[in-house]
Amino acid sequence: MATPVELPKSGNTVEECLIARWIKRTGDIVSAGDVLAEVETDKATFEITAPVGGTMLATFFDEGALVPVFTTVCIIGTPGEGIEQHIPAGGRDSGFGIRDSALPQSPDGGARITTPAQIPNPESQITTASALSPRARRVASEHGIDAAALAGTGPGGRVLERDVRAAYESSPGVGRVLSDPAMPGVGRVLSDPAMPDVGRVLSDPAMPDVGRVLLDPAIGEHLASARTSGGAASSFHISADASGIARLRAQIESLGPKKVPDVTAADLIAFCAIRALVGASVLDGFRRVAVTSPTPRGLITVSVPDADTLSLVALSARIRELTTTVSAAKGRPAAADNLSGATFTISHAAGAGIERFTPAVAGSAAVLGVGAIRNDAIELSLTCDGRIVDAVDATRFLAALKDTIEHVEYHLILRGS
Amino acid sequence: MPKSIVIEPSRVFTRETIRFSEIPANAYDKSIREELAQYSPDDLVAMWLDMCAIREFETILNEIKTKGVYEGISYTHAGPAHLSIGQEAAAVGMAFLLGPEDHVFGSHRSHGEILAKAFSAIRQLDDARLMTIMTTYRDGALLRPVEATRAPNVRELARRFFVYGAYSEIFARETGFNRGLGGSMHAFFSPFGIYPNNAIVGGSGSIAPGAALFKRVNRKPGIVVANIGDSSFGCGPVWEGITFSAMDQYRTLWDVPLGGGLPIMFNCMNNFYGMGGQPVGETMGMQYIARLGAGVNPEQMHAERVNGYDPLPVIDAFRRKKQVLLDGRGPVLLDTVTYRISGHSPSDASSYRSKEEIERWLAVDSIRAFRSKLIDHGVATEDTLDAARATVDATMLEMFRLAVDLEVSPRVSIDSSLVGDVMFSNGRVERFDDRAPEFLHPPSENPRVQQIRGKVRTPTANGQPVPKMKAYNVRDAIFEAMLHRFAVDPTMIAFGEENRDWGGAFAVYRGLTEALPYHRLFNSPISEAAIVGAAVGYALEGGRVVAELMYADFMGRAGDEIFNQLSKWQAMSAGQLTMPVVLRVSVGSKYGAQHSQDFTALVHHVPGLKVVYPVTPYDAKGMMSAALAGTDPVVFFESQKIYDVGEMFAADGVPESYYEIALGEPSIKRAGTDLTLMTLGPALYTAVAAAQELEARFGLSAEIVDLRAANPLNYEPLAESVRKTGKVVLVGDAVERGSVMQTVAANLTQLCFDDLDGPPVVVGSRNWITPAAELEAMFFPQPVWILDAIHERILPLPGYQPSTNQTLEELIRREKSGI
Repeated sequence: MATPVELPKSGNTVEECLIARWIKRTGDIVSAGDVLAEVETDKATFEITAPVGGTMLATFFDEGALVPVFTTVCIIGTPGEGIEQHIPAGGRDSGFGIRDSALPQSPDGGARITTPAQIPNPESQITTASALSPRARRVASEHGIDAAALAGTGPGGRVLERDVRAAYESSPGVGRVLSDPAMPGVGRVLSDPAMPDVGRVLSDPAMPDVGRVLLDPAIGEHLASARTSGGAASSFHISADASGIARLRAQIESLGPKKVPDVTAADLIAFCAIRALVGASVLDGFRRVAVTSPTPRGLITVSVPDADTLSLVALSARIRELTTTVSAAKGRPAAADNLSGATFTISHAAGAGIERFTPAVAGSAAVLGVGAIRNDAIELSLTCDGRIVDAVDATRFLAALKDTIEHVEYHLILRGS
Repeated sequence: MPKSIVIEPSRVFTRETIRFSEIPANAYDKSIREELAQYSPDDLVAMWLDMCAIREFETILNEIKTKGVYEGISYTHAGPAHLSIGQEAAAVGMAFLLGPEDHVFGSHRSHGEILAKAFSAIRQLDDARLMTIMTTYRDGALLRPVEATRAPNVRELARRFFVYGAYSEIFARETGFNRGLGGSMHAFFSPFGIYPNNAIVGGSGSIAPGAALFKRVNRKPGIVVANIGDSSFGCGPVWEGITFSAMDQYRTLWDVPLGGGLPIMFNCMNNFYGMGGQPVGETMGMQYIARLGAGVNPEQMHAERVNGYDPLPVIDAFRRKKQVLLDGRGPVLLDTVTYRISGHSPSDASSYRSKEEIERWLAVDSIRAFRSKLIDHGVATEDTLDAARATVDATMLEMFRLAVDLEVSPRVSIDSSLVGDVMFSNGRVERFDDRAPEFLHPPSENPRVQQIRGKVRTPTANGQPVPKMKAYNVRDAIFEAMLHRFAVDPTMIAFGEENRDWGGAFAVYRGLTEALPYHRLFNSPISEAAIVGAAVGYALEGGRVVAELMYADFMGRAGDEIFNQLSKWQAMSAGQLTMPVVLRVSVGSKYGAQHSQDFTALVHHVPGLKVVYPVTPYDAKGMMSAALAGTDPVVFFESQKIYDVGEMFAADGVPESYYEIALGEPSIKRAGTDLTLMTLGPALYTAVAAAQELEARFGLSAEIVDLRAANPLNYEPLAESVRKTGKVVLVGDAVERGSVMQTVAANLTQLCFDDLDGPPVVVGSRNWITPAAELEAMFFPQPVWILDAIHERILPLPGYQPSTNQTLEELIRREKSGI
C-alpha cells in the first residue's frame, strides 16, 4: 500500500512552505526516518522525514515551489503500486526540470510596487479665511442671517457666534422688533438653541406678550418649520391714503356701539385685504385667512374660515369672537382648528406708534403687516415666502390693496353688507 | 525601619565568613520495594496512567497542529499550543501529593501540570463534592456534553469533565473553563486548586507569592506552587517574587501564630531551554537553578535538584518540602530536571539542538522507563498496563472529538457581547470574609483619627479661609476611606515601600502603624513588580488589597504586572476571577525628570483598568470609598502637589460619615456660561486661577469641569457643558502628546461638533523631561498658558498679548521635531 507523505503545518500561522531542496528523488530507496526534503517557512527550515521505508514512487512540486500545508509532496511504496489516488491537486510527478507550482503565478510575476500616495503640501495654509464655526453657522441659519457676508472676529478671521448675534441684533425690521425689550418672550425664545417644541415652551406664563401669540401648537409648528426652512422671504411696502378708513371710523364712533357694531379700523383694513386677495392671481389661491390682533393677553392669531364670504360686520364679529375664545382659554387653547389651514395672515401686531411693521413669514404664503394710521396715511408691508409668491404677485396685490383702501366705501357697497 | 531591629555597628564590622551548605542533586535512592510501603500498586499504576493521559492529550494536539487530522478527525487549530511532551513525570510527581487546597500557578506550557493536578484532586475529593463542583460550574455547561458519554463512575466522569473542559478551552469554545477567553496558555480551574497559568514567562513568579500571602494572612490551609521554567529565572519579576517571599519579617515581626514564612514553592520545571536559548552554557551562568537558593537566605530556600524524569523522586521531594512550608519555614526552591521532546511551539524547527540530543532523551523516555519499572518489579503486568493505557487513550480521543464538535462545543458568535461584558465585574463586596477585622486598638482611639477630629472640613471657618494645618486635606480623606474598609473587611491589607513606620512616604498612612498588625500593613522590598504581582495574586485568591507605588514613574518597573496581569485576569477568566485591587500611585512634584511624571495616559489605554484622579478631599474620600467597595482593579492617582490642600468647592464640606462617588463621574466645580475649562488632576487649581483672571480682566464666565477619572468616563455632562458654551480648553499636567485630554477633546468634537464655536484645545505639559523645581513653570501648564490658548485658538481677547506661543504653526513645529 503506497504511503503518501504530506507537508506538515509547522507553525501557527504557516499556510504554505517553500520546497527548498529534495534530498531523495523519485526512484530512490529510503528507510524510515530518512530525510526526504528540506522545506522553508517564513521563520525556519524544516526537514520532512520518511514515515516508512520503501521506494520513492513519485515526488511532486519542484524545488522553489510554494506548496500549501497538508498537501502530499511525495509517495513511498513498492514499485508498481497504484498512486493515482494520492496525487495532489495541482501537482504531477515532476522528476526534474519543468517548473510546476501549486499556486497560480501573479500576472506580473512578482510583487507589485505601489507608488506612494500624493502627500499634501505641508506649507499650505492651516486655516482658511472667512471660516465659520459650526455654532455660528447654526445660529445664522436660525435667524436668517447671511453669514458669508459677515466679518469674523475669531482666530484667522473665523466668524464666531458673537459675530452672528451682533449682526442679528443690529438688523432692521424683524430684528428690531424681536429685540424690543417689551417683547422678551419671543426674543429669548427664538434665540434659545435648545428649543424643541416652540408651542410648549412659549406657554410658560413667565413669558408675556408676544409669547402668548405662539401658544397654539400649530403656530409653533409653523414657526419651527420657518426656522428650519431658512426662509427665502421678501418684503414689500406700500403706503396708502387712509382717509376713507378714517371717515368711516369717525362715523362709527359718533353713532356709538348701540346703533352700529364696533367695527375697528383693523377690521376695515382686513376687509380690504380680503377683497384685494380675491382675484390676485397666486395669492388668490391662498385665500385662507388668519388675523393677528393685539389683546390684553398679548397677540392672538386666529384663522377665519371663508373670510371672503363674510360681510364687514360679520367679519368683524367673527374676528372678535374667535380672538376672545382663544384669548380666554387657559394655557393652551383647546381648538387647534382655529389656526389650521391659514395661508395668508393679516397682522396687526404692531403696537401704537409703529409706522411700519415687517412681519416674519411663518408658515403662511404671505403676511401683511399693518401699521398705524397717521395723518390719514397708512403703511403696509407684505412679507412673502419667495418660493411661493414672487415680486410681481406681491406688487399686484399691494396695488390692489392700496386701491381698495383708498376706495373703501365703494368696495363696501360693491360687496354689500 | 522597625526600631525594634537595631543596626549595631560593632556587630556589622565583625570579621566573619559567610558560609553555605551543600545543595543535594538527585539524592533520591529509594527502591520500588521501599516505595511500595507508602504507595499501593494501584497508586503506582495511577501515576503511570496519568502520565499516559497527558502524553496522549498532547500528542493529539501535536498531530492536529502539524497534520490537521488525528484518527480521522480533521481539525484546524488556529491558536497557540506549547507542548511539553516528555515532561509528564515531572507534572505527575508535582501534583500527586497536593490536595485541592494546594494551589498551583503555571506557565505557558502547563497542560501536563493542570491535568496532573486535576487527576490528583479528583482522587482526593469524594463523589458528592465532585458532583457539586461539576453541576455548579457555569450551571453545568461543561458537564452536560460529558454526561452523555456515560462514564462508569463519578471519578471517571470528573476526569472526562476536566479533559473536555481543557480541550474546549484550548479550542476557544464556550464550554471551556474560561469560555474560550483564556486559551491554552491561561487555562485554569480553581475548584481543583488549579490557578492561572500565564503566557508571560515567569508571570506566575510575582503573582504566586500574593496567593501564598493570602493563605498566610487569612489562615487558609494549603501551600502555593509556582511551576515556572528555567529561563524564567532570568526575569526580574521572578527574582522580585522570590525576594518578596523570603522576607525576614514573616518570622521576625509578624505574629507568631500566623505561621511564619510564606507557604510558597518555586518549582522550576527545568527543561534546559527557553524558546531556544540555552541557560546552561549560553544565556545564564547559574548552571544549576538550585544554586539560586544559596543566594536568597540562610536556609538557601531548602533548595534541591531532583530527577523529573521519574515521578517518584519528585513526589518524595514534594512530600518533604510541603512539610517545610506547612511548618512555616518557607519559601522553597525545587529544581526539577526534565526535558521536552516537542519543540517550543509548532513553528519550532529545533534548530537549536541536535537530533542526537533528542534521540538520547527519547531513549530514556519517562513513560517507557516507568512502565518497565512497574513490570520488572511485579507491580503490574504488561497486558494490564497496555489495556489500561488503551482505555485512557480512547477517553482522550473521545473528549477531543466532543470538544472539536461545533454543535456540542460551540463558540460564541462573532457579534457576541461576552468579551465586553467580562472586562469589568462592576461588583460590590462589603467584606470578603466574615471574621472580625484585626486591629491593635479600636479605630476611635487612633491618634490620627483624633487629630482629624479637630480639623475643619469646610472651605471656610466663620467666613475666614482655613489655615493649612487646620484644614482637613486630601491625605486625611484617603486615610478615612481606607480606615473604614479596614474596619469592615478582615481580608483587606495594604503594602508598599515605606508604608509602615514611615506612614507612607506622603504621610497618608500616618496612624495606621499604631492601628494595624503587621500582616495588614507592611513594608515590601523595593520591588515594584512584586508589589503589584502580589496584589494580583492576593486578589484572585479572594481578598481585598491596596498596593502602593510611591511614584507614578515607577509604574514601568511593574509594567507587566500592570499591563498584562492586573488588567486582564477578570476577562481572561471570563468573569470567574475578580480583582479587588486599588493601586495607589503618587504623581511627583518638584523632584525632577524621573520623579514627576503623570502616566494616566498609559493605563487609560490598557483595557481592563479603571483609572481615577481625584484632587479634592471630598472627591478623594468618596472615590477611594467607591474603589474599596468594588471588585475591579482601580489605578488611583494622587498628586504630591496637593496632599495638604483643604476642601475648596463643596460648600457643606467633607462629610464625616461614609459616602461613595461613582467612579467615572465628572463634577462641575464652578458653573459658567462663556467657555468651559475641563481638567484632570491638580490642573484644576490652575484652571481656577485662569478663570479668576478671565472674569476680572475680560468679564468672561468660565465653567470648570473636573473629570476626576480617565476610565470609565461619563461624557454626558461634558458634552452638555460644551454644547452650552461652545468653547472648551482641556488642561492637565501630563505631557500633552497622547494624553487623556487629547482623547477627551477628540470625543467632544464628535459629540458637540455643531455646537462648537471653536476647536477643543488641549493645554498640557511640554513633551520634555521635567526640569528642576525652580524652572517648573516652563514645563507645567500655567494659568497664562490657558489665556494664551483661548486668545490664539478660540476667542481673541481684547487688548491681550500672549506670553507663550500657542499658534498652530508652533504645534506643527513641535510635532515635526518630536517634542
